[in-house]
Amino acid sequence: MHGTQANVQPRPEFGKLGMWWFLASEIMTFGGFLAVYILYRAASGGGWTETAEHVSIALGSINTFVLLTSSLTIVKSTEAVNQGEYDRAKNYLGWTILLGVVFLAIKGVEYTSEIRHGFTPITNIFWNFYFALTGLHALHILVGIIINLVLYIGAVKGTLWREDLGHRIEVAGLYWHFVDIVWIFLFPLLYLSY
Amino acid sequence: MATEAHDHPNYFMVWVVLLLLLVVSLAAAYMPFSQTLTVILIFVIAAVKALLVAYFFMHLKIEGKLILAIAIVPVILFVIMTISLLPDIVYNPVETATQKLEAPKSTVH
Repeated sequence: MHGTQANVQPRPEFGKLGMWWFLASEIMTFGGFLAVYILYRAASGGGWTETAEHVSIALGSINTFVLLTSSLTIVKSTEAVNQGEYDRAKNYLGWTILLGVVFLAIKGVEYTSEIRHGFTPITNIFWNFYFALTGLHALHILVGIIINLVLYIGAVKGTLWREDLGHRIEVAGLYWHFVDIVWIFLFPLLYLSY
Repeated sequence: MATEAHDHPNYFMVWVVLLLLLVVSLAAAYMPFSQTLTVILIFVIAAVKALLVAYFFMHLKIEGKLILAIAIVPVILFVIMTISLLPDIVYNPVETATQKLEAPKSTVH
């Protein structure tokens, strides 16, 4: 036994380590998918250009802006937790949730417009990849929103601070940043390379 | 990169740089560059953006070797996987990849 101070540090470290371990498996999940898409696209020799031109670069760019901003708000939330400014931390977390919902709403508008113009997952292999990759990503956004919402409720009730669980926002932030990074690559892969 | 203090990076400045990079990648996509140059530019920019997010927002800047290893190893595996699949898919293309895709006309089919 090395005294009582030893029980202060490990908890956040374990949470972070667990999340990074999970993200490593996520890199392989998205990686396998992306590798096949990249290679098929490279093999296509430009044959997909005509159909790929129909994505909305404007909406894709706005969504990139939304996600990059949500990454800023959740990291500011973590910073506020570390400074003991719990009210500020709660507000930044709220903004992150809102931006996640905005992202999904814009994605929904995109999907609706695309499907109405005849681009569905069975139209051809490009749109098959497009819906599968962005759909898997959107599912991750949805999960992130739910995680952040659970933390936000804890922050509003105050249980998050009373039970000294503020570091969970940092762990949730790691997941959120990862989903942002996936989008950083999906954007040029699906929207800009035609 | 601008940092206010050792353990308090200026997150706002990182965000500004990320947005600037987004604008640059859009500009690169619309410029009359050759396709090869455009593709290289937009993916180099994407990689820089991803590194900025990982380094500053995910705190890889201050994390220990263990977490760095957990983050980097799967990225290396991804690169190896992609390169090792090149001969099968790109140099010996399957028909599903090489067929010319046409945009559906407004007519329902």
